[in-house]
Amino acid sequence: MGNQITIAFKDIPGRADSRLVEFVGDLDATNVENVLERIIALMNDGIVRIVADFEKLRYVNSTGLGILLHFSKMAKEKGGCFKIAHVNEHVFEIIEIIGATTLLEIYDSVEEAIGSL
Amino acid sequence: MRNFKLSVDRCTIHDSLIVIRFKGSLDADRVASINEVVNGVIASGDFFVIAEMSDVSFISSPAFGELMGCKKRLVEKGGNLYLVGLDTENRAKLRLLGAEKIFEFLPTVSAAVRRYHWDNEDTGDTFRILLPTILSYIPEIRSFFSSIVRQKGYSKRDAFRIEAIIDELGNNAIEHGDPGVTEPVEIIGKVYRYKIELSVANRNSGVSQANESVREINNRLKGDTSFNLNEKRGRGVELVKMLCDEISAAAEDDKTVIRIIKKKEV
Repeated sequence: MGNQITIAFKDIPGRADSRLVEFVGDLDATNVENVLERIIALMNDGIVRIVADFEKLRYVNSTGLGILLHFSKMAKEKGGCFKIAHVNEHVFEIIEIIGATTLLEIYDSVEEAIGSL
Repeated sequence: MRNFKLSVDRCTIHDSLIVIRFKGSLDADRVASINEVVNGVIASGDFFVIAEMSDVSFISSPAFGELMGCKKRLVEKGGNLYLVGLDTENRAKLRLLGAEKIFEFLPTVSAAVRRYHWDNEDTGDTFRILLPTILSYIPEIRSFFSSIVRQKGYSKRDAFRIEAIIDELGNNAIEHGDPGVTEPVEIIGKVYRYKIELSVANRNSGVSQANESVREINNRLKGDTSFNLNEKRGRGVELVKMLCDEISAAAEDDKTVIRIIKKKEV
C-alpha cells in the first residue's frame, strides 16, 4: 500500500553547483516528505541550481505542487534556481490551473533548462 | 447445405431487447434468412436486437455484410444490434474484415443488456468505497476510479482530472476529519454517459464541528477566503473547484459531505 516515487541525481558536466534530478512516478501527499528531505539535503550541500526532469513524473497533486514552490523559493533564497523540464500535459494542467506557471520556471526540454542555468 | 438454425425471443433480462440465437454455419446462402428475421423484428416495432452467436461455427463474408446492413437499419430506427458470444476464431476473422469499427464484441447477453442500459437509459453505474483514514490508501483508490472512468469511455484527461479530484478530496477528508474518529471516509461515485457525480463524506467529532468545516469550505468556494498559492491550506479545494463543473459542501449530522459534478469532455 502507498505510492512510489523515485528520484535520481545526475551530475551536469562543468557545473559543480548544479544537478539534474529525475522524477519517476507520482508525487503526492504519501511521499512528499521523502522528496522534500532529499532535495533540501542537496541544497544544504551547496547544490542550489537544480533542473528537475519531469518526463516520467506521471502525476502531481496540490501537496506535491506545494513542495515544488517551496524548492523554487528556497533555491532563490540561496542564490540558485529550481527549474522544471519536460512536463507531461496532465501535470502541466495541474500546475497551470492552480496558477503556479508564473512562480515556477518551466522548460520544454532538459537541454533547454540546463542551457539557461 | 450445412447446419443452420435461428430462434427469436424477447430478452428475459430486459424486455426492450430481442434476442436472435444463431446456431451452426452462417454461409452465404443464409443472408436471406438473416435479412428476413431482422426485418420481421423491425416490423413488429422492436429496434434493439442481440445477435447471440456462441453456437456459431462459421460466419461468411456475405452473412457478416448482412449483419452490418441489419445494424444500419436498426440504428436508423434509433435502435442497435449487439453481437454476443462470438468465439475467438470468428472474432479474429471479423476483426480482419474491420468489424470492430462497427460492432463491439460483447461476451454475454447480460453484457449486451448492460451496454443497452449505458447507451439508452443513462441511469449511471454506482461505485462506493470506504476509505480507511490512512493517506497511503489514497493512491490506489484514485487509480481505481480513474480506471473505471476510462472504461466508461471518458478521455485520458477526464480520467486524470477525476484522479486528482478523488486525491484532493480524500486527502482533505482524512486531514481535516476528527483525528479521534476511525470511521472510514465514504466515497460514492456515479458514472453516467456524460457526467460523473462524486460525494466524499467524513465524520467530525460532532454536529458543530461539521457545520464549522462546511462554513470554512463554502467561504473558500465562494471566494470569501482569499486563496494564496504559497499557503498549504486551501490549495486542494481550489484545485478541485477548477477541475470540476459543480461543487458544494453540506453538513449532514456530524458528517462533512462534499459533492461534485464533472461533465464529460467533448
